[in-house]
Amino acid sequence: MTRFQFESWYDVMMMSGHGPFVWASFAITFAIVAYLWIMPGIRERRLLREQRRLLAIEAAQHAAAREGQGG
Amino acid sequence: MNWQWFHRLGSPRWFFEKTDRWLPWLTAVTLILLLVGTVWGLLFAPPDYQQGNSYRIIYIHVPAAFLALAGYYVMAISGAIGIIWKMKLPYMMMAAAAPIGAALTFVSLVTGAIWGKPTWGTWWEWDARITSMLILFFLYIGIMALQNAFRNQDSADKACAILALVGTVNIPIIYKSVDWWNTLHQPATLKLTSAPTIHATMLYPLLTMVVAFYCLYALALFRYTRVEILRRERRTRWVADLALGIRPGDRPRTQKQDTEASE
Repeated sequence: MTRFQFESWYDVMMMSGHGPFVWASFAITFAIVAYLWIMPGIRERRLLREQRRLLAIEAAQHAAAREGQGG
Repeated sequence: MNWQWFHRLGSPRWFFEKTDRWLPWLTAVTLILLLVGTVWGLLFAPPDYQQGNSYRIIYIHVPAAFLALAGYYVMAISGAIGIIWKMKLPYMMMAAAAPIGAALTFVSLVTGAIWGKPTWGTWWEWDARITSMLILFFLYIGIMALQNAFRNQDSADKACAILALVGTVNIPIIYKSVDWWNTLHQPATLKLTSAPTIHATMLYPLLTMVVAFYCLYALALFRYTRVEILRRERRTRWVADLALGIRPGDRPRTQKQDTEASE
């Protein structure tokens, strides 16, 4: 039957000697999953920010060129 | 026959805007499934009668290995579609699939090694299943390296697609390695063609984790593809509008933009 399998939280941690193996596996997996989860968001924002900066430079250059023609 | 839907599927902009609406739902479903599957597998599923509690690693090892393999199909098929129909989006998906596949293959190798220590008494064994998985990992890394090795994006895409397709040979070898060779690795727990060799109380949390990892894979694939789209389409008007926070309705559409969009 499916029920809580452990006597105490210490028991959960130790898992009768296998705890370190099980917990290390889960910790490494979730660290990698977290990396997969977080990275694209950071890169998406970074790309958009970079593009915003380039567009601002281009707009400034256009404005300067127009001013140069006018004067 | 009307092929418009097919070409729309190949439009990076269409994909970007559609996934914008799907992502929150997919994120929620993935988080819930991961949480339920992990708690169920770690704390509520009964221990194995032979392996005790160490078998609980199965709840991440098997789903990660499944997706490492399924992810290779995604990458190779995207590459094939890109070569055949010369579409941009499948190539972007192929490039996005490589780091995700590499990460999941790494997870299955590392969790396998950790599981091996208490079960077989060794972290690593040059056994058929493990070695072919290591080759899969190198294939993913190879695709990532090749993607960056070219100055010309088009050449990079074609080279990667060909490498991905050639590497598909490895996939049936991985599947069959536990049957063809006398290995240390146990045979498959879950098979489509026969009853699972695992009790229902252990099976249901495992299936939950498999579904969770499929969702996680889809989520990661969508998000990495979106980054790839932004990177490659950065000189287009719609990305400029996105960067500046101009919504599609705000700018009066011109004839020129309409033809650009339909390309």
